[in-house]
Parts: sequence; structure tokens; C-alpha cells
Amino acid sequence: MKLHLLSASELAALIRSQEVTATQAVEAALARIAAHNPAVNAFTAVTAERALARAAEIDAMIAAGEQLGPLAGVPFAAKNLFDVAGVVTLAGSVIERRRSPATADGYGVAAMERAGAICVGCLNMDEYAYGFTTENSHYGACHNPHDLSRSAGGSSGGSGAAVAAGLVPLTLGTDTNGSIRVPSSNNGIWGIKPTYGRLSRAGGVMFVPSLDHVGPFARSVADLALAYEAMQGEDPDDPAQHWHGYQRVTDQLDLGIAGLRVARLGGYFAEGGMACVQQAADSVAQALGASETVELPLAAAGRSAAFLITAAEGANQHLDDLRIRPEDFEPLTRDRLIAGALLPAQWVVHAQRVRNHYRDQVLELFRHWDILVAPATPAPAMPIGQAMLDIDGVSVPLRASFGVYTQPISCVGLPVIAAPIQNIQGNLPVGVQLIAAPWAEDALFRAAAYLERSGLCSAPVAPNFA
Amino acid sequence: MIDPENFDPLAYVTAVAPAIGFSFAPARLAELAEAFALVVRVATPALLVNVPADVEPAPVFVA
Repeated sequence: MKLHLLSASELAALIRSQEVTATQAVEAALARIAAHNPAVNAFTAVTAERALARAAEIDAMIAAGEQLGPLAGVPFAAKNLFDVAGVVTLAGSVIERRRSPATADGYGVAAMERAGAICVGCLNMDEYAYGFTTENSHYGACHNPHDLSRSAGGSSGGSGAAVAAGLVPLTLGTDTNGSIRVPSSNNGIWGIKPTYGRLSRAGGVMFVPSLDHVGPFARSVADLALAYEAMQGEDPDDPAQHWHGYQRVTDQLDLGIAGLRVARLGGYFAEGGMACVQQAADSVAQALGASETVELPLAAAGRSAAFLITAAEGANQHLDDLRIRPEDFEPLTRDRLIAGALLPAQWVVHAQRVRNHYRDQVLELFRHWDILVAPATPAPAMPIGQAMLDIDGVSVPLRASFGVYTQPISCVGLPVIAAPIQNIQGNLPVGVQLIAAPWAEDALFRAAAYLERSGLCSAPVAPNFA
Repeated sequence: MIDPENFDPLAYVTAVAPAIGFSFAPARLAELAEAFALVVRVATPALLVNVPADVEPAPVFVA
């Protein structure tokens, strides 16, 4: 049996029925990582000892007839900005490498383990999450399993590549400006960036606290739903969390889309991307019965505001290190952070006012619509090392432009599922954003499950790794 | 808020960097001015928005 081709749900069912042990599941994942990680460079640490010990505990509990969580025995991994007990939380940097290992798991990791999942390691990312390509000079570039010469996206590139390569069925990532949705798109897998404030971010290295979100990646909607449910919980250690109570979504997956009002985002979201990504968004909109194309007012300004806030807050997090040891920063990150440190306060405050103003107008749109459809990235995965992106005959900086469609959405904290379509340009996949009103993740899961059942959206293990 | 046509990133970076505690050689200042120019370019659509006077900033954001 090829365990790496199974979904988390299928694997958990086999473990519950004792056809497969948790130890076998973890050993299989560790063997996959040993065999294939050198090609994709998704993992920066493998926690084999801890994982095997936990697997043995779970096997003993199953043998004793104990009731376990829905992900019991399923291996997962987390972006290396989440604290994992016993491992130094790198956040993609060498500066953080000097710190002591984490003494406890971060909230998201601990929540997954409470549901029975087993952490097998930590994943590559852009330094301090400031990037869309995971071309990390310290730990090496993360390679896309669909085409190893291309980027896995970022900043949660390792989280995307590990799932697409079938190393683990579930991973955790973070999304400030698109860092879950861009790797989902580049690697052709499912990802959710929940509403800002839904899931606790405590226990890890933050990037931009007023924009940071956490969320899971998976190869099926059911797996994504299980992980999303597992990560929920009230946590006083995250001051930005707004606890709305537990939201069950696994019971939404068979409801279909009847009654959901769906529109395609046009204007800003219909410009500036390659034709193939626009066609992907069109096909998703059509499959969901979108009746109109609508515009998100002030989307360009919203993206700009997010960019300014990111630059200023991100720089503030690292100001001392930028002054004392600038040479230790990733060259692709350092000058952007320093530029952020130099921004006038007037501009940043104005950006926060634009954000408020923009949010009010966006929320008005959701009086008429439940789901808005837009591309996730302006292009499929690009070659590693490529600095510029040609769109509509215009050459733009690739690393700053890959979040052009995601930044206006996370700026106002809306929940989004990135839905993957395979082979959109040759063998490359691309993602489409399903966007809902704050706290309406349940509608997103209904639409995502419908798209998966229709066959339009899917996330198999990349063919070279199947 | 900003006049992107006349904004001089090199002059700005040269003037502000010491106040933030940075000391850069002229060649580095030019590189940082380039990075700052990119920030200004992407930031301009937000800086050009006339926000109604009663709209407050959202430093602690609630979706």
C-alpha cells in the first residue's frame, strides 16, 4: 500500500481500524522525506525521535481502546516559524539560529497534536516570511514538485512542496500577504487562510502582527476541513484572536452550493495576470454558477496599504538586528526591511486609515454576495532565480508582484480557500481564490467541496513523486 | 500625501537613515534608495486615496 498517496482522512481511518499503525504511518513519512526531500528541499528539520515516540503512544492508546482525535496517527509538518519543542524556531533566518530551542509547541502545532496528528518536522520558508518564492539563501531554495526548476512559492514554500510531493498529507503555514495562497497555487494544492483573528498564532515568530494569519495545506478538501477544525480553540496568548466559538465545517462538505451567491471579481483582479490564470478563475466562477462580475472597490489601494503596513511593521520587528548585523539578513529581504524602517509615520497611519475605509466598502459587497472568485497568483510557478515577470508586455519585479491578487484580500482579513487546478500551463497547476465575508469559512468549504466533486479542482501528489 | 513624480528617494534615505540609527556608505545609500523607490511605487495608490476625515486608523485590526 502506498501510504503517501492516501489522504489524511483515509490514513486516519486505516489507523483507527488498526489496518495500519501510527508507527508505520510515521515511518513511511520519514522514509519519503529521506528519499525525496533532497530534491525539493522542503524540510529544514526532521523530528523523527519525537514523532516515533508519539506514534508509539498513539498505537498503545488505540490498542487499549481509547478514543482518539480525528487525525490520530497522521503525520504533519509546520513552517519553521512555528515553535516545535526541542527545535530552534528559525523563521528562515540565521539570526534566529542563535536562539535556544523552543521549550513548547506553538498553539497550531499543539492543536494538531491534540487532534492526534504527529509532527515530523519543520519546513523551509522565505526569511521572516518576507517573500513569495522561498529562495532562501541560508537554507537553499525550495523546489516545486511539479517542475524542480521552478519556485514552490512563498513564503510557506516548504509547506506547499511537502504536501504536493507526498511527503506528508498536511502542513501548517502562515499568510500575511498571500503566503498560504501563493504556495497553494504554485504547488497545486488546497490551502485556507481563515478570517483574521480566527486561529491563534501564539508560539512562533510573527512577521506583521496586524496582518498575520495561520492555516493548513492539504490535498483534499476533507483533509483541509479536518485540519482547520483541529487548529481552532480560544487562546488568550494571541491578543489578536477574536474567538467566535468553534466552527464545524466537516459537516458542510456535502451540502452543495444551493443558495450561495457567487460572483467573479473583475476590474483589478481581471488585469495584470497571465491569460491562463484568468481562464482558471473564469472556469471556477462558471462551475460555481457565478452570475455577475463585480469589482472590489479600492483594491489597488488596499494592496498598497497592506504593502506599506507590512514594510513598516516587518521592519520594526527586526530593527535592532538590521542596525547591528545587517549582513546576516537574506539579501533579498534586507533592503526591503531597511526601506520599511525608513517609512514616515504619516504614510503608515494613512495606510491604516485606508485599510479601515477599504474594509467598510468591501463588507458592503458581501451584503450581495457570499463568495467572490479571483485568481490567486498572476502566473503559475516561475523559474527559480527569475527576477522579473512579463505580464501583458510589461516587465514587473516578480518577488513584489506575486501577491498582487492576494494582498488586497488579506489586507481586510477576509477568509480565503485557494482551490487548485492542475495542468493549467503544461504540467503546472494554478490556484483560484474563493473569498468570503469575515467568519464565513463554512461557505468556502461548501464551494471547495463542490469544486472537488465536480472534478475541476483537485490536488494529487505531483506526478514525478507519485 | 505624496507627489510621486517629484519624490527623491535618495535624498529622503540620506536624510532619514541617520535618525533611525543607520550609517551607510554612499554606494549602499544608492541601493537603499532603489529599494525605497520600489516601496514608494507600490505604496502610491494608497497614499493618493483621500480618506474621509472621520475614518480612524486600524492599528489593531478586526475583520
